[in-house]
Amino acid sequence: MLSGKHLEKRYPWKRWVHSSGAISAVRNVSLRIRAGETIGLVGESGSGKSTLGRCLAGLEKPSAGSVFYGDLEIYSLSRREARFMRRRIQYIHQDPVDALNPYRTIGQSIAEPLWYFGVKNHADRRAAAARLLEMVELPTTYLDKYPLELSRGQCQRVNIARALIVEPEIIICDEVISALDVSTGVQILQLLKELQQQNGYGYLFISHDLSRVIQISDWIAVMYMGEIVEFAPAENFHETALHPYAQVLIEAVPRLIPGESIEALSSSTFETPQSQLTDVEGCPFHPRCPLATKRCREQKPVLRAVGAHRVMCHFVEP
Amino acid sequence: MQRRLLDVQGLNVSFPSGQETTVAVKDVNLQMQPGETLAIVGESGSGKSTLALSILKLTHKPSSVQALRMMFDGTDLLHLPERGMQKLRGKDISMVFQDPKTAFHPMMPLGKQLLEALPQGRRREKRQRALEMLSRVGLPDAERQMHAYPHTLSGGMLQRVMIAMALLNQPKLLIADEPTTALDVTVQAGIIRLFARLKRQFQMGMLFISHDLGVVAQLADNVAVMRQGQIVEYGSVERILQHPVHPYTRHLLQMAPRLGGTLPMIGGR
Ligand SMILES: Nc1ncnc2c1ncn2[C@@H]1O[C@H](COP(=O)(O)OP(=O)(O)OP(=O)(O)O)[C@@H](O)[C@H]1O
Ligand SMILES: Nc1ncnc2c1ncn2[C@@H]1O[C@H](COP(=O)(O)OP(=O)(O)O)[C@@H](O)[C@H]1O
Ligand code: SF4
Ligand SMILES: [Mg+2]
Ligand SMILES: [Mg+2]
Repeated sequence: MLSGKHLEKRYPWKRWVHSSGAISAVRNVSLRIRAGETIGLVGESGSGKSTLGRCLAGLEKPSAGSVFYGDLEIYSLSRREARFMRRRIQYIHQDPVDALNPYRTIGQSIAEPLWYFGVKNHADRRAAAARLLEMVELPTTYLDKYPLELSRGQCQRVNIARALIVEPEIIICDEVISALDVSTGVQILQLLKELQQQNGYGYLFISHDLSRVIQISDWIAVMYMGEIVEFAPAENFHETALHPYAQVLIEAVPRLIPGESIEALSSSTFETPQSQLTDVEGCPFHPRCPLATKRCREQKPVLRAVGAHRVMCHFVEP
Repeated sequence: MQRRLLDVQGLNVSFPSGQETTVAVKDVNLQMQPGETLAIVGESGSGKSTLALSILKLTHKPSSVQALRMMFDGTDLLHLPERGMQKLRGKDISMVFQDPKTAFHPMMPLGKQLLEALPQGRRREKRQRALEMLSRVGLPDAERQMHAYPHTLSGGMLQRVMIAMALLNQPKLLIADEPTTALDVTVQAGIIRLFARLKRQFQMGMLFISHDLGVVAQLADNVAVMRQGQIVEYGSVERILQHPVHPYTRHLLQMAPRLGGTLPMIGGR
């Protein structure tokens, strides 16, 4: 189990000599990923999804808060513990082709993490890479190919193989299907699901494709300006979402029915998000919220339980 | 009968390279009426962008574009010299791309670039027209954004500026190549609403390229489904979405993300 507690991440920001400050990419987020479970993390561009993912993966030290793998805090480990931890938590990137070194064969790329973790024998590494290729349903003849000879979907399978070779427990998948064609993406998701059933991986699945995320997740976390504003069971989330921003995200998904026009939606909500450089008083969503009142502008809501959901809004009732 | 806006017959586009030749568009026929929105859907590499660029005669060289017929609003594009094409581009036919950054000069204020897109006219009038178009596409602070450089705008805002630029000369045909693919769903919804409104206001024909059937459902009158350079099915948006005939169209529909339900199945799993 991996859990982030009260995570904060600020990036310094500088524009002119006299004006500088910090962007709060993640604000007081607590999130737990259990083995065998999938959490879908959604939110608009810049809301802090990747930053949160990197903090949880041990790739970027949060400005405040802590991340526990079991009872180890992953940013205050001895070297030996850190090495162990790094095997257990893996992170898969968005761009399948960029993530692979073009000058290394597929076999070398997949087996590389093993070398780092002490498997120095070449034949052993190659055998392991071959086994992983089978696991991600690619022919073992691909061991000696180069990334440029593969399609994007195949490259993404290679990335998955590379993440799995160290036998992780938690895998953070950051937009892993965004760069792929629709049906290729579906195949990758099927693969990830099957591997989860076999090996009990826990996934944090970051994506802006809400309809897909609802289909494959157990829980949905909705992020807005660095905060989780709703956390809820994924089943029927498109009908049960409570937070006004989550509802806006759902409304904005274009339906497959001709004439069911998006034109009917209220407009102010669909403008570009506000700047993250200035802190918003009160509820962070109030400048765009169709339900905002005076209270929303003055008082910041806290995340509270409403039925099976946790929601950050003053006015949500069960 | 009303004059057709676009009439393409027997279009073939190929890219020769060394021994091999990639045929990107094969035997394509298209007809559009004025004011119609025709969507081209298909997966990546199916030839959508090549088809769009070949209408503007902007395919990357070396390429070979051949057609039996290519008429735009009474003009024969096949036999139109490059100078004539230049007069059409950005005026009667405009194009909007997936990545707005590629459409602007990075070191020039947006306002200046918008004015350059307008042909003759007094500076003040041109400015007025640009400002009006910017507010029409829903860009906040239009006056201020005229002085801004492209990188200071978000993707969605820059996309709106590009659309404004494309509409400045009130084109008869707007070609939009995946204009919302890189955007958040909320911003995308704003752009879809914008297109739907503009289409009505200007009676503008639109060739709308997308791989997202949801977006297509919201905007298209007719749909052409493309696969490996060929149009495999062509019909009204209602017919294609509700009674698809070709197995590939059915496959695309089955794979399309939709709210609710479970992950679609592929390959007998
Ligand atoms: N290394 C960095 N240095 C400075 N600012 C950063 C850095 N990484 C992220 N940010 C800022 O933090 C905020 C959150 O970014 P993040 O990449 O986590 O968003 P995201 O939700 O993953 O967005 P997207 O959907 O576009 O991937 C943004 O304002 C971003 O500009
Ligand atoms: N400039 C070019 N040179 C060589 N091949 C190209 C070029 N542009 C496109 N192609 C090829 O033409 C086919 C169709 O590409 P494209 O029109 O970009 O498809 P889409 O827009 O549907 O993704 C692909 O096989 C692609 O590799
Ligand atoms: S607290 Fe107010 S502004 Fe914030 S989401 Fe709820 S209703 Fe909207
Ligand atoms: Mg990201
Ligand atoms: Mg394209």
